[in-house]
Amino acid sequence: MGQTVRFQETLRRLAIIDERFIEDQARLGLSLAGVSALDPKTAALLQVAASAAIGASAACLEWSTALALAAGASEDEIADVLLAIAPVAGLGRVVAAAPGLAAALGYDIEAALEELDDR
Amino acid sequence: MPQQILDWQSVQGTPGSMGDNHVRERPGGIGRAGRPAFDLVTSKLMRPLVRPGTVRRRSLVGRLANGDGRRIVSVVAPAGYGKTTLLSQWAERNGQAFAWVSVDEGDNDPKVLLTYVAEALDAVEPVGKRVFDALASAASSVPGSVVPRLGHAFSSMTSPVVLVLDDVHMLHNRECRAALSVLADHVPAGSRLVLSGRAEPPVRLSRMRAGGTLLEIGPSDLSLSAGEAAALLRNAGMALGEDVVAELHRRTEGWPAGLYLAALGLKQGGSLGRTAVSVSGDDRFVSDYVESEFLARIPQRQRAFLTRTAVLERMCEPLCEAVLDLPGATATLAELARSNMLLVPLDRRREWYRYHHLFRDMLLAELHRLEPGLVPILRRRAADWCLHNGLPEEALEYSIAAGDVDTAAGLLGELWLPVYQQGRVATIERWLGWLDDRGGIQGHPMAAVGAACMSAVIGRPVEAERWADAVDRWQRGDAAWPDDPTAEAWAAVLRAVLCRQGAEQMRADADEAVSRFAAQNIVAPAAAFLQGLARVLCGDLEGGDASFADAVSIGERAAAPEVLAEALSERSLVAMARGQWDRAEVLAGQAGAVLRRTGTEDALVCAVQARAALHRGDVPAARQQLVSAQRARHVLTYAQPHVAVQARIELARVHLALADLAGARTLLREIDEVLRRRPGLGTLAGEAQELRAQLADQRSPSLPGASALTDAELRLLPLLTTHLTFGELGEELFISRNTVKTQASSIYRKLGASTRGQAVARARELGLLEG
Repeated sequence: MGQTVRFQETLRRLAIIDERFIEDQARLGLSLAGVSALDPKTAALLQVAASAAIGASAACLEWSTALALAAGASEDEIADVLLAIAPVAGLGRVVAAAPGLAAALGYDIEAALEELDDR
Repeated sequence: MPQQILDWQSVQGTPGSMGDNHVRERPGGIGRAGRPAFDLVTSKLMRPLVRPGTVRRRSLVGRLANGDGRRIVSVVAPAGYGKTTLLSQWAERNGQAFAWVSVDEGDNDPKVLLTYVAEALDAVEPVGKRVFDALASAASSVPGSVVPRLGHAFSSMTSPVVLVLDDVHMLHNRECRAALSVLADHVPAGSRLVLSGRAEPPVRLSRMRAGGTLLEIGPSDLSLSAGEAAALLRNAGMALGEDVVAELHRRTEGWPAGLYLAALGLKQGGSLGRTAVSVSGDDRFVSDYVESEFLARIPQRQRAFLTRTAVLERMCEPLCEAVLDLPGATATLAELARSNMLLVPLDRRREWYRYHHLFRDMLLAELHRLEPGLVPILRRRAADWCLHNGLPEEALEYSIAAGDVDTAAGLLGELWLPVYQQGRVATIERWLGWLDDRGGIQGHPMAAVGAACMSAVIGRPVEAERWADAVDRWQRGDAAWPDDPTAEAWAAVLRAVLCRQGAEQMRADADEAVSRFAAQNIVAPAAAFLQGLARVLCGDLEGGDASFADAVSIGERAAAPEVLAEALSERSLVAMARGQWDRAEVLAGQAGAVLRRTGTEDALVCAVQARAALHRGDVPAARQQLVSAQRARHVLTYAQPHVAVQARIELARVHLALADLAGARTLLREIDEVLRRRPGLGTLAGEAQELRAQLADQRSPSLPGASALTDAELRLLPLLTTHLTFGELGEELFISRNTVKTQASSIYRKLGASTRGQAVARARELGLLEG
């Protein structure tokens, strides 16, 4: 595959949010275990909320959503996060975040809107 | 994979075994480990013989034989340029082993194409049982299992081999094309992959060109020099003056087929100069050329024979007589075979022939021009002859060509099961698609029931429901529901498989299936299996176990390994539920052994073995079973909701016991998704609820790793081994490019990879992918 160019590797790993790489190289603690007063699921849902509120990239949304699912959050809870933050974050942010969240939940909004009927 | 539902050996034979026919046969020595699942057209694996009198292409053959270590050879030229002849001459020249596959339309089913490739290579050096196991299984993934196993076998061959795929332009199936591209990466040193056809082969030529691994032969290489043209005409028995030869050479630009046809025409008493067109295999001129140079000059009787028999894919004397409805036609065939190079013998007995492809195209064009109304009649006669001579698949193909919807639908109703059991899903889909486009399923219950059952067990729930709706409509009696007790029995199986009305109804449907099959004396372990499952779902563990015991004994007798393995697994689960762990272990072991023999995988069987392994404290074995289940579980969709939920519950329990919360939660989400569509799954709903409660109690976070790959991601994973782009993968999976990208990123992250190549390599290390 040719030699690995370091800056390319770094950028690729950042783009897909490679947790181990980011923890090691950027020295960011991504583990939710450190947050003791909140249970992991709540902490993960808050991350989803913050990602949506600051207009984070689709990759960030997808990652935080996957984390929330792994922490035991349901699809309904995750979708409700958007409703909960709408008054504060604004409709624009929430609308912008919806497709990214959907993708992380395995729901292809684009295809769903295109389809004639969803069975 | 629960293709076990269709793992049913009744009194029927396989399609190819119905008649004694010298073209289709099962090759392979006695006791060879792997065998192709279906009867092969052996002539496709035979290198065409070089006829005496063929112009030798010494310098070209020299270039090919020398090769300079270039592993891929592409031979691309229009029809009639002597591509096949050149390769045959090369094969004849030295002692190097050749594996030859003549590709045709029927190879647009990856399992079919790759069976021929495996068979061709196997004749040179055994490729092993695993390759044929994967090929023979309907549910095995082509990019995930078949291609990696075959690629591995090819790249580890110890003796150099030239693998020729002739007429690759016939391949339009995307999976077939992707498979060739991957195979091209597995050519061992000293060996060659030769892709010959009318269009550029479906591999990444530019990369190979840049890498210097490609040898390209094109029309300019293949066109005959003036000297070779003279030799061709001389060998065809033409004593022509130098100026005539030069004129012919100029006019045909060295196109061998053109020269040969012109020679034939002149032989029939024609004269040069009638046409002024210059031809070089360009389709626009070809039929004009044939008309003026050849057909116009031969006797009417011979001309009718040629054009009318051109509807045949391949021909023998009785078939020609039947199609022409003309006794005595045999003499013409024999005469042609002696004199004409455009008729290719297909067997050593000289019974079966086919026309040279180019020649046939021309003749067909002529037939369509002169007698268009006759075309379907001829094809119908061919179908009829094939049907009465033990060639039902050919009969179906001719019926399709003739546009005979009813005949085709009837044949499909008979053929789908044996062809499915041979793993040829794409072939059945092609037939179904054709019928469906013409509304041909209406009035043919067996075809629709077959389509629904097949779609359900290979993990295509949307199609399964669509076909099942059609079956339901008939059974409600709005259309003419022909009296077909076998179809009625299968319709009951189908309802039990889909379980759309809940567990109680499933029980009634399964009971109905069992009694209907029994009434017809048909051995159907699937019905007993479904009956057992329905009873368990209704809380009748005792009755369920009894039915599973029936399914086991019928499965053993009927040599139905998949249903046998699943029934043994279910019995093991019953034993676990009763706390009889010794017994459970034995049954789980038996189930595993059955599948190991067939070389297939099944998520339920894996789950049961994982639970047994965990109970005896063998954690590595349990983990290994979980990985195998990941490879196999994607075919378990809401189209068979009971097994889909049951297998996932058992798997999730093992993940939970191994403290892999992310893995367990991924499975629970899939369970919930199935339950949302099929809430009435009886006792399974309670078990899922229990699992949910257990998971809710777990608070320690765990980063999602490989075990948390979702169903959709597991479906994408094998396709990442191909060279298809994200956009093309999206088309393959019917999802948007964006979704593919999201899923791929998620896969990379869970596998700790940052490139597609790394992800594939990591998945191989973990055992998620073969190869």
